[in-house]
Amino acid sequence: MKRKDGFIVRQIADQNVAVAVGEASRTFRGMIKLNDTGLMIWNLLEDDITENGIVAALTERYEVDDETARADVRRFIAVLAEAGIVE
Amino acid sequence: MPILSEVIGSGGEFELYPRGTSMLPLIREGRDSVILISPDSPDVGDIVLYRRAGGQYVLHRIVGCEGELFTMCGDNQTKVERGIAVGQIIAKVKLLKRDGRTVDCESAEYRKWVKKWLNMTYRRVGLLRYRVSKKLGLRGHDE
Repeated sequence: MKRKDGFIVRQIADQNVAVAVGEASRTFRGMIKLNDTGLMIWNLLEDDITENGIVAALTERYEVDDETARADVRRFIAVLAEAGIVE
Repeated sequence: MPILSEVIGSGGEFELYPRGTSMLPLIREGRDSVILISPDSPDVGDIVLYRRAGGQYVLHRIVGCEGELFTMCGDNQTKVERGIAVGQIIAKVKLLKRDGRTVDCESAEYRKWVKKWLNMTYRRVGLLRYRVSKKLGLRGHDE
């Protein structure tokens, strides 16, 4: 899976947020707050990657077991999918 | 606001939930939102987001222009603000949103309403002046 083009990440008061620009902003209005893990997954999704790939990257960087990481990844991806940001 | 400028500068749209009472009855805080786009060529009747010399961001309607400068006034205000340069205008309202309904600010119906509203504003100001002057005893009660 891969993130759609047309989003930028900016810092607002120490908080990373993703907003849509250009054409994408006509369909997605609002902002997505990203914590550190969220930002990492967000960045990984810039190029085509599998769920396993994201989980592997997370377990390598953070002290987290595969199962917990996978549950988090699925929840985050579900949010992005619902907003039409990943395809 | 830099994000808003960035989104609009990219040719995008930005949804803003305006605060305050100066655009009542059209825009009510907490109920209504506006979709902002690049202002291209702002015109009388447009609701625009602009930045005052003091740095404050304001969403008001253009009610007139004098040469290159615009005159602004909130729908709920009677005192106009003159001398706003086109460079101070960041965005203009394309759509009004209320309870899932939208009003297109370019539609003929809305523009007709705006024209009426702008005319009415002057009458409203006149009425207010009349009331105040009456209260102050500057006019007779039988007038």
